[in-house]
Amino acid sequence: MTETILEVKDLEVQYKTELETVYAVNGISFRLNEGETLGIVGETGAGKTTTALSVLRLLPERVSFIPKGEIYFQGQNLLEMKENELRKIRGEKIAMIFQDPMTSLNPVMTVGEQILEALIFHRAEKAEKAELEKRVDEVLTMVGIAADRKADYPHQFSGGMKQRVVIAMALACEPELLIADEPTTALDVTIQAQVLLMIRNLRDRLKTAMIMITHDLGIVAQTCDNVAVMYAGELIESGTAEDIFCAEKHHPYTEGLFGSIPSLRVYTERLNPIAGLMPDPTERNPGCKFAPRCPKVMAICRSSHPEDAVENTHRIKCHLYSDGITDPRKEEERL
Amino acid sequence: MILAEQEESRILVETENLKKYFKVAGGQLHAVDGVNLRIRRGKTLGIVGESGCGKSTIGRTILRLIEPSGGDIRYEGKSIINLNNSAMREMRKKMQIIFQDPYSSINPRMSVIELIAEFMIVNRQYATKAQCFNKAAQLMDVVGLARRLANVYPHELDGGRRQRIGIARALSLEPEFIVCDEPVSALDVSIQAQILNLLMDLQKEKGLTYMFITHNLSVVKHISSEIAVMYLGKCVEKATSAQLFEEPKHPYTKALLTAIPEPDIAMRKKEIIVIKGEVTSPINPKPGCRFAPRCDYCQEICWREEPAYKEVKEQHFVACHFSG
Amino acid sequence: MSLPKPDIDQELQQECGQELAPEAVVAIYKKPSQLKEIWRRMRKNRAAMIGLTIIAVILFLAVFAEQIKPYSLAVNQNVKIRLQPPSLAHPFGTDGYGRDLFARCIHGARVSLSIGFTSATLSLVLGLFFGSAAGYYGGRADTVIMRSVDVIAAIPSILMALAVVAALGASPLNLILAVSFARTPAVIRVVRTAVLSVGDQEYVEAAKAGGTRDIRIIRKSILPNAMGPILVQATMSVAQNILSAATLSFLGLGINPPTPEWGAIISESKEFMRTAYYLMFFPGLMIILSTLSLNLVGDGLRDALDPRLKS
Repeated sequence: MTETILEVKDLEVQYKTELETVYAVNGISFRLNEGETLGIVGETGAGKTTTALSVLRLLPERVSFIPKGEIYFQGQNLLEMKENELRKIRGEKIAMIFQDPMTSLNPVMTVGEQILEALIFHRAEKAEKAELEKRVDEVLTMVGIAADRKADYPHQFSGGMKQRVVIAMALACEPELLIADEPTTALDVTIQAQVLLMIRNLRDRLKTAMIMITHDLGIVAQTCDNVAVMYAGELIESGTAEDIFCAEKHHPYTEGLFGSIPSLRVYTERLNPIAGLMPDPTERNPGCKFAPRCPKVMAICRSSHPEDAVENTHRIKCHLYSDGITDPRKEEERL
Repeated sequence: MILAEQEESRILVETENLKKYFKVAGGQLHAVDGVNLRIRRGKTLGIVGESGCGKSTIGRTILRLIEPSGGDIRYEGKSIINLNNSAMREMRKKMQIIFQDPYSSINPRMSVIELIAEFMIVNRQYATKAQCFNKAAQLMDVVGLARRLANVYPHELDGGRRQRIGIARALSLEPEFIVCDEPVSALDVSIQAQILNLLMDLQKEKGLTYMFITHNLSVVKHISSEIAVMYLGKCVEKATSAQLFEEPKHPYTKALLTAIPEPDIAMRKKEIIVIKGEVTSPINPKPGCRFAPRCDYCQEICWREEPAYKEVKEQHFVACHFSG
Repeated sequence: MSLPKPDIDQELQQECGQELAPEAVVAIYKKPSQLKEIWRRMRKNRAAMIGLTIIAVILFLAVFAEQIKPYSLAVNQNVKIRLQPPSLAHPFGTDGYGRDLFARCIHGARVSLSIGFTSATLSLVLGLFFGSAAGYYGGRADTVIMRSVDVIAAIPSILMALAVVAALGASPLNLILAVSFARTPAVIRVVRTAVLSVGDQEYVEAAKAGGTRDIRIIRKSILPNAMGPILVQATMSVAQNILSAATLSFLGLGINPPTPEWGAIISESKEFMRTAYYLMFFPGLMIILSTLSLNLVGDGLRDALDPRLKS
């Protein structure tokens, strides 16, 4: 029996400005076991990054509010923790990798110093300087950077190498949970392949649990055990990778996402995109968030919010499956 | 012979040994270095490559938005390289461009309809301004923009709709040839698919010819009839879309194709050719093959001699010493 | 033209075709005011609104100066009432010649503000021309213009203005010329920087690709988008120029007596500094209030125009 490392229960996040309230995350729940990788997929504005930031409690102060929800990390509710307790968890137990490596690197410090600083800050016991230096060399080698480059400044590295440095920093303290927010989006395909391969190998070796946030279904397919599809601040479908990539029944949005990607194998004349746009996050409607764009929309979708239909590990938030995911009757009725 | 001539006449845009060097601190940056391309009327040539391979530069150079450093560009067989400003303005009615960034490519101080009508007004396409606006309103229908958005300013619109403005603007002069410079890269997948469908429908309807520049291989495969792969200012391989994906010849193309993460868990165990290292500097490049420092099959000759760009199969060109 | 595609927004689909005929779109076509939007944002800025109120009051006094206190009171001497402290009849007191100081100050506002605004406009026009030429064309034009600017900017601006007035003689027109000439290099620099930052944008390239001529590109694509920092600079220029004009007049190189001008009034009050504080205080206050409020407005404009703050 594997232990649950992170559990998010009914989380809601809002951004409030003097003009409007943005409902960024609307009641999402998921759990992550030790050593597993969860992929969160969705488009811009789906609330992926907000979810990640709320786990680390790094949401912008003053404008963001968490009206509801609990986030348990190893049994402790992160939302009830004090700032100084959180500081111990951030970086040491939960580390994050951001999309743009430049935002997480200090341009006026050498990369060696930055990794060293992360180590000194988080290590409780006083370690010898030489020992720490050795650790810096170790983590750099681990991410495929020659240890003698630790005296270089970030601008002397290319984009892919910078992202490796960031990963080295994140892994320096051997965190138990790694949150990667679009870690390869800024990189070229061949470099992306290098970095993804490295992340996968390190994860398997260090047994780190990971949340991989991305908009690319390909990356999810190649790296994740479990998948959660987000749309307009909700988890509209979740399950194991097999549930999402192999099962027959899906949320219409998930189907739309797959229909939007041109296949490398099959030639298709036209793509099947999802019509319309993401709903305005400042409005809250009673019905399903996807109803205005849904090709299979029914009367009930506009008036009532769907519940999760569950089959083993597979969950779909859609009225189509209100009698269960495996039940084909609903399908016939609709026709 | 007649067949060959017909084939010739179908070529709309052609570049010969096209070069663009930029002067930078360390010397000459070879952004585009001797590229030969032929784009057939009514077809799409896809240009793929990673950042810094010169793919955007080549699109802009063909339209002479950037002046080439050498080589020739021919449109319908006639060189356009020495055309003066006013002749080039005429030419640009036939050759248009759609930009990557729907945010920076649209003047935020103009309303949607002004943006679309602007090119028609400056080129006096129609007798009166009202007619230009009229035509712009029709173009809004063509690209799928609701007419109520006519007087809206771009900052109120999302990326997909902004990109539709860019497309309507490019169509407004009724061009034959459009350079699409990563038109969907900044968009979310569902919106991306909408725009791709729109571009393909427009091509079918109006017989447009595209040069489609992108780093996204699945997109380029979907939209292109032919694909050219670029690496550090050079075209390393060119073939029909199907042929390239079936039988890639150049080691770089092979690596590029296996590097794409596919949305299919069955592909998890596929062998990825991870090419070592990173793109070398395009400033004062060394002689020999540009890909040699990263190539697994690299031999001594690759460091010495630049591989010729030769036809290895019908319509399949490769620049590699060992592709024969 | 064909009908819309099947896969565009459902919502759009309903609207296309049925909503408005193309003629109707042109008919209702009118530019929604961006000024309104800027004003809305400006109104939220308290400091800017205070500045705007003060400058409006000063402008009001200047425009209706004749109705409030006739010009004769500001220039006709009356020794019987010289050096009176502020009172109801003479809110700011009277000066050494028995002239009403309030009248002098509000009539002086006419002179000072017109010098400020005219010279700022002049330097703005010059700055827009040379600055956009330097920023847009770059290369040799840029080198020639910017090196000249460097040379002019190397001379202290007050010294420069002094030289101009000394060469051309002291008159309101020459004062305007001197002040704006001294100010122009700074404006050219700001315009050039603004134009350069906008010139990189793809929509400028797009305009070129559409066959637009340079003049129209500058006018339609570049300047409207570069206007933010330029307008701010222009507003601050007015304040700066009021100060420069006052300084020159104080030195006796601007407006000649008896014409009231803030700097000149202060200059005349020097000898009574110890006995009649109000003779320096009120014109000084006018200068401070007008420049301060213009700077506040400038700051407010900068925030209101900044596209990053756009909703």
